[in-house]
Amino acid sequence: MIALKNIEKYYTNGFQKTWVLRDITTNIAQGEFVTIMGPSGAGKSTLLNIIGMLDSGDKGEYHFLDEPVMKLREKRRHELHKSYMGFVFQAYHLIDELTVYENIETPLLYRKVKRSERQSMVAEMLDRFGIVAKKDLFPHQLSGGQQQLVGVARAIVARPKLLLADEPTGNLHSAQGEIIMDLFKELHDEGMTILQVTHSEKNASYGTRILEIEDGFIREDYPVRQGGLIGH
Amino acid sequence: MITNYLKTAWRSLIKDRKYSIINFLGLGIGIAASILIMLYVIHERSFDQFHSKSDQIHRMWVKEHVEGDVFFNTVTPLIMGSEARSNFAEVEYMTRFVTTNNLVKIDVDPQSETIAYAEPEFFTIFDFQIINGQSDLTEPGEVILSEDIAGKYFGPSDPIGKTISILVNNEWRDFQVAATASVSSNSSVRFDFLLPFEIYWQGVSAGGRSCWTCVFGETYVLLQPDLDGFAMQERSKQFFDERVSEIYEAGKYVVGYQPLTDIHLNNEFPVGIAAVSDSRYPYILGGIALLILVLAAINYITLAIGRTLSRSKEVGIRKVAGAGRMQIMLQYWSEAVLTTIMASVIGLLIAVLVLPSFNALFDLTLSLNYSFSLVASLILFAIVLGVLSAIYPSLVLSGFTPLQAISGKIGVNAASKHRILNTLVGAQFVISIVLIVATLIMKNQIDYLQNTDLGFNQEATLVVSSQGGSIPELIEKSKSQAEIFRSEIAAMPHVQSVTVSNHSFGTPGWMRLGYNEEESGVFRNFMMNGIDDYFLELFDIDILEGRNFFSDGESDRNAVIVNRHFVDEYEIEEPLSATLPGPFREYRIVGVVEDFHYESLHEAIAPLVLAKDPMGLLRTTPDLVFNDSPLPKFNFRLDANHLLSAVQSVKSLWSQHMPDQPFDFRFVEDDLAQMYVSEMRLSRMVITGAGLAIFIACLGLYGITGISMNRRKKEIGIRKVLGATLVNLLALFSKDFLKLISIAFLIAAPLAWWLMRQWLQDFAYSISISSWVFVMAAVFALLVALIAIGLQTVFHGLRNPVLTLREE
Repeated sequence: MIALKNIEKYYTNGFQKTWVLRDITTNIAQGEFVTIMGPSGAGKSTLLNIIGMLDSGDKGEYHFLDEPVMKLREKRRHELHKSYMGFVFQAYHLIDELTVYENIETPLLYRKVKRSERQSMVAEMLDRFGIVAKKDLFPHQLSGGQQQLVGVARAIVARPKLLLADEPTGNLHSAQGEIIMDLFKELHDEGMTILQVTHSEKNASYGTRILEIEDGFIREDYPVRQGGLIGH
Repeated sequence: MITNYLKTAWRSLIKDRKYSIINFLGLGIGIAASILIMLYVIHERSFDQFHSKSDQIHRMWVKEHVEGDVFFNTVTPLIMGSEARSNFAEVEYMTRFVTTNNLVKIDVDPQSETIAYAEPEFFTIFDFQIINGQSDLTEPGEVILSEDIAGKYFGPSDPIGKTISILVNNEWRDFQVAATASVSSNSSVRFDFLLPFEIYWQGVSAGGRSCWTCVFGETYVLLQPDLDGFAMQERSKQFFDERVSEIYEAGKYVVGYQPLTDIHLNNEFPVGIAAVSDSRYPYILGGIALLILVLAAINYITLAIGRTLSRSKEVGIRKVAGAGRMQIMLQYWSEAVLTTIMASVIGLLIAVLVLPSFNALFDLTLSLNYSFSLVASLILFAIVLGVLSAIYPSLVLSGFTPLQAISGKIGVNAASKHRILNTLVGAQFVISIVLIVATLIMKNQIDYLQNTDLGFNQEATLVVSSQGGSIPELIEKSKSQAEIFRSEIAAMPHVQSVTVSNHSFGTPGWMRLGYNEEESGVFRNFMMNGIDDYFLELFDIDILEGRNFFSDGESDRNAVIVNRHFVDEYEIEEPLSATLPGPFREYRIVGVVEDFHYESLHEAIAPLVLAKDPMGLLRTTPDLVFNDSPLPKFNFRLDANHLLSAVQSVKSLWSQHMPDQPFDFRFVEDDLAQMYVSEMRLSRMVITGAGLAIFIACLGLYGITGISMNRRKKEIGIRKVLGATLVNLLALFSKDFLKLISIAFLIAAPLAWWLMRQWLQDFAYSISISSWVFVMAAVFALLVALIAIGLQTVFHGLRNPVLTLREE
């Protein structure tokens, strides 16, 4: 599904180049649940954003579903992003002016889904995440965990193929975090490809594979042993 | 989709209440101004369009070229229209339209009224609606009344068949009311009493009837369809050349045709009977409305840009959720349009509230009718305004990459954005400063107009015109009447004296006598007024040399007094032994008076002759122009402290001695003020506009300072912790704006100077533009800006720094 080859990302500051990502080469197949780990500033989020097409690499090749993303025009890239990807943020990033229902509905609006269909899709999400009663509340009226549930619901309501999550439990306490991670697991079991960035080894254990990044390089790439903790 | 946009838009309007109010208020005021001005412009443009053949109706004009001078008139010789009608098939119908001031007796008291005369084809050419009765202007004993005048004299009762006495051609004649007609407010051709032209014709001498150089009234013709005035002018050129060949060379006497619909707003043509509006007004008013709108739109833009930081997160999320750039832009446009539509509602409300004062201010009778087209055009206008104001903010907002937007790291192009914001706020200051300077200069000029020593004493002078007779007769009668008044006035404590003259002050102008110099043939002219021996004394006009007229009746028949300008212009060395030039040689100069402003300060003082026997001069002159009726006027000097009782005394004196003449009085001071009505109006427009502009600009400044302080609240907190006082903070935040205002001032000052010089050139006498006007404008702009910034500084500066720092 995702093929990265020699991806580089850097900032030039005067004559100095600051590398964020160097020589990233890896493949991610459909159905994988990959965790990107590494210390702060290692380039985890940048990699996630490049894959999610919110950012682009400066060099290298990136194929998504066999399309050469870095050579595509902005419009096509936007289409790919729109059709296949869902995002979950650490800070939830809900729209303050919209209710729970409306927040979840937003991606569908941009995909020109018909009204009746929209209603049933949003209702399904509300149902699944047990937030039917909260549908008319505004984000500031919810707890962090509830906000993140809405965030996840919004990310998957349009049925993306790839779910990207940047520290999805970073702002939550552990009980709330677990709910979210269980949800991810469930989605993965249903066949969704998931890519998450996290510091937490516990969260990583929900996935199938770990990419460890340090100073912009991939240091390690290994599968997660099912049912147990991480081994080398 | 659109409902989602509107929902978000509505909620964010509510959330950012402060900015929404600034926008609603500013845009609302701008829209209200636009609505009122549109009403005015529509009214002005609708003039004379209601006649079904309005495009075929033309008014004849004549231009006479005499020795380098051009005499251009839209009132024409009587013979011109009838000749055109009977010799050109292109002239389908024709009517002459003349007005006179006559005495009208309906109950007991005679009133002075304007009587119009027209020919039977009048109603074929024009579509004045006959409301009641019928008349075709062929019966000499019939009169048609306007709806208004019928209401004035007969109230709700039916006037048809009633009898009205009118003093025409020096005899009282009875007329039967045959019809009433409606004269709409947007008609150039107006009448109160309309008589058959035949009545007027009877009073014109045979010479006048066939005179090609005497003008009497307007001539309206209905040309063949699709024939324009220029074409008709070409076709009739040779014909008129031949008709006047005894007096004029070919091409020196030009007859033309002005479209009826062109009359109201064309200031190139001299005013005839039809009143003309100042064609600059729609432009000036429209310009002011546009400026106010621009200022309000700039507020919208700067506030929207200023808030990008708080809105950018939402944009980022939407983009991540799949929104394209166009969709984001559409969202901001719908938000802007929602704002402008709500502002339109507020604007409409304001317009309805201030319409009466607007009408009063500009002497109008406009009304708003709530039609579909009003609502539709208002909505359309709101949409256009909203889309225009939101172009830039929506481009900026939608241009961020989702990552920048979500993280709030949108400082990348902050520098260029800052420049644009500064330019916009600077533009507001330029507009405001120009308007302040204009206001100050106008005020100075008007003060100057009102306070300049005119060279005569205008205080408490009451003027009543005599009526009902030929001029020579009336002059003689008035002079003897004045003698009788004078003896009775001596016993009246509050009436000081009286004098009779053909012209008083504050009038459109005195008569002008012209002649050709015998040797060179050059055309020259001077102004003239017929006065008595009390005139100079009553008006406190200084005699420089020589003497006043003798008081007995017969001597001084051939004596004249001239003004200083006359002596200068004709280079007379010994004025007291000189005579008048040209054909007026039998008139001796017996005195020279100091120059005084007998006309408004728009006009320069010209050579002036004051004659005790004006009729002699009038009979001698080959050329005569009246700008105002020369019927003799009684000028009473009253006691300014007892005006009311003085007027009562004069009134009883008048009704006792001249019972058949109306006591229609006016005060010289009022008439003098009336001469500058147009300027006063213009200055009121500009003052109102300037006030609104500054208010809106300040609202914007207040808002944008608030935003920038909000962004810098951490900095404010730190500075406060480090010991900064409110004054320090004010200095810090106003520094940037001070720079901006200085630059705006450098642009605005020359612009304002140039504009106002144009305006001042309308006056023969004007102030010179002094530099303190600019200083005052700059200080005022600064002060107002400092208040706006100061309020925000106090608001933000008083917050506990601990709290603002913790928030971060």
